[in-house]
Amino acid sequence: MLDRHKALTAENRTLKLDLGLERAIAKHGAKRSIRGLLVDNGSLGKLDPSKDDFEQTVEDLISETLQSAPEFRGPSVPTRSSAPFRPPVAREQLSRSDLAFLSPEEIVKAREAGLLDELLGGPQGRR
Amino acid sequence: MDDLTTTIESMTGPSTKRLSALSAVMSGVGEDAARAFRDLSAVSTLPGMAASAAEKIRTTRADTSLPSDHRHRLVNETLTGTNLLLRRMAQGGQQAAQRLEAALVDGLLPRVHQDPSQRALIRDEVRTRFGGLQGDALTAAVLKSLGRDPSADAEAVGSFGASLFAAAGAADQHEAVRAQAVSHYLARRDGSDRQQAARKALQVLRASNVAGIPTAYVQAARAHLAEVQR
Repeated sequence: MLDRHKALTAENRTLKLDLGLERAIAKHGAKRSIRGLLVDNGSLGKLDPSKDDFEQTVEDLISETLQSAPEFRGPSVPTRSSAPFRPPVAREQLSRSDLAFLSPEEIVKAREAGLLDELLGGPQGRR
Repeated sequence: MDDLTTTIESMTGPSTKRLSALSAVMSGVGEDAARAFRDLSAVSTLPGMAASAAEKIRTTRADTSLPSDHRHRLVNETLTGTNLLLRRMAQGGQQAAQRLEAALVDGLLPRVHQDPSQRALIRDEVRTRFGGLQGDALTAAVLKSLGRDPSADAEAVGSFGASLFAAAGAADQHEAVRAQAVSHYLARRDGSDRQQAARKALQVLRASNVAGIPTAYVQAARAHLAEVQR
């Protein structure tokens, strides 16, 4: 029971971390591959989603990282002159750099959930 | 059973048995060790992943309704992505094997006293007992005292002990002392539930070639891919 509780707590932490990162990345127009950089330089491991200022901390981290590594800025979005284009809702896909952020167990789960289909050249049988 | 299946099973069979033996003794070892074991076990899915990728490559190549260039690109993407996955999983599996052993060693060795004031007293005792010794004399004295007082052992083999050894000009000997402490506590029969569980798991782990487990599954996965790369 205790192990289950710990596992859920860890999962909850990962989800909060992912959500916070995704929001900050979208807000600052960064490339998703910036996560790989944050993993490599140890910044990601230091984030604590349970803290009250977590969202602000993540935003500051993305903003500061973009200043020192502008190559992670996403393409600028042209000014819209017509109704917004709504792309079909697709399942979120993980990138190559995301793999560095995942443990082997998480990679297996991501593959089973179809999150690696794009990386693997399309859907595959789930053996 | 075809030749490839027989080859794969001969490559992974021993590792599957080792994982199974480890799985049977992972109860009560703590979350860090359990997580490391789950990561290590995850590499056992690699041959299946590679077999799926190989099957997809065969299907893509045979689908003549797609333009040849498109088929070629899809095959390359599948191969590149799968190889990347194998590398990442192999690396993660090796790290998991190391994390598992480290977590079990941590679980086996006695823990420092939880009460800070008691802990300070124990550190004073350790400092008094070993503080005047240098180099080999310090190592010999710490080794001789192993097992008499688990709380003092916890300090001696932990970061406090590492500082003590560094100050005595014997920083390079601390790791050897820690290894001796692990051997000592592995040979004992007493201890907390956590220590007993870690001891049992560490004994099984050390009897297995755990570092070879990820390699075996990665090689088996590569054998599947090799079939479509000829």
